[in-house]
Amino acid sequence: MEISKEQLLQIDKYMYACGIKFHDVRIEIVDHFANILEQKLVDNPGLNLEQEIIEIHKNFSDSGFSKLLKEKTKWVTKKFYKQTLKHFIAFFKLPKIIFSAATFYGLFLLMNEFGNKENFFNILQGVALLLSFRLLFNVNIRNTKKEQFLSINMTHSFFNVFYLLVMLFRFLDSQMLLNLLGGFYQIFHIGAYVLLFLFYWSGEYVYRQNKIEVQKQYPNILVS
Amino acid sequence: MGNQKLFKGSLQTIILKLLASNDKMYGYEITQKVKELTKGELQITEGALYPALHKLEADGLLDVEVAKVGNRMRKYYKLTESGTKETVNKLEEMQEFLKTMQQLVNPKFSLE
Repeated sequence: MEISKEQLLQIDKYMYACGIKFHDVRIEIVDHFANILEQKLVDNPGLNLEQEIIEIHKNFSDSGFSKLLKEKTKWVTKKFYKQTLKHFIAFFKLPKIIFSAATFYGLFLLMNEFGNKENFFNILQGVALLLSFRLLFNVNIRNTKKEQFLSINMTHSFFNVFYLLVMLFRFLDSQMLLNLLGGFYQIFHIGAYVLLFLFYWSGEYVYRQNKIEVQKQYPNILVS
Repeated sequence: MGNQKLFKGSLQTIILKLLASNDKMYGYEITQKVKELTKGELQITEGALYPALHKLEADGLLDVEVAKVGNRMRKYYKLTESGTKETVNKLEEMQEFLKTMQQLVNPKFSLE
């Protein structure tokens, strides 16, 4: 006896209420509950679905879903870092290294065109802030209506490091650093900016690669 | 039902062995298959099965495939290439373990 769409929705809502908010974890458990319920419905077609869901949950494990969620998060995190490192290494191939060196040299030439160097670094700071806003928009606003996946969510969290770096970039303006580095201050500043930009770019690349992998597994779902 | 604690450390081997014998399986199917093969002697709890499956997946021993079955999605697990190799190793380990246990428990009669 196959469970109806409405009954599936009821199980799904129950899972969500129990804290399983990620789609990739939820579908597996919903299917598991549905299989047990289908078996029970054969024996007793009139059973109380709500009561039965609670009963299956009780028998799931001594700690309910908490152990599953903890373990799942642990293993997905492990896999995420492994994959991210793989993509990250794949990103830094020779063309990117040449591009970085060219960007560094280009910015250095551009800086020399500015009479007041402070204006030049203020513009760089402005661009870094714009990129931060773009990330903020992408991660927190545009994708809120789509299904959430644990691995993708981790990539989003990883972007928080970028905000931190933008703040650190602001710190480079400090007088203390200027005194410490002397004549190398401007070169150091441009170098830090190029690294910041590369970090942003590689983060986007890693995110896209991770998204492709999730999309391969879940072709019918909109991945945020 | 036998002592479940004795089976606990063998869960990964059991999963790998089942997947080696079947092309792909989903969680509930694994629990039912184990129940059927052991005539109810061993019942895998879901709370232990899914974390074990996720660990094997993270270790690259299992691959995942999601398919629409009826009106819902189902997550299937299958062995990767390294998963197939690991199954052979784990089964050999298990055979060795059983042999050792046999010698300890019943020194006069061994599996050999």
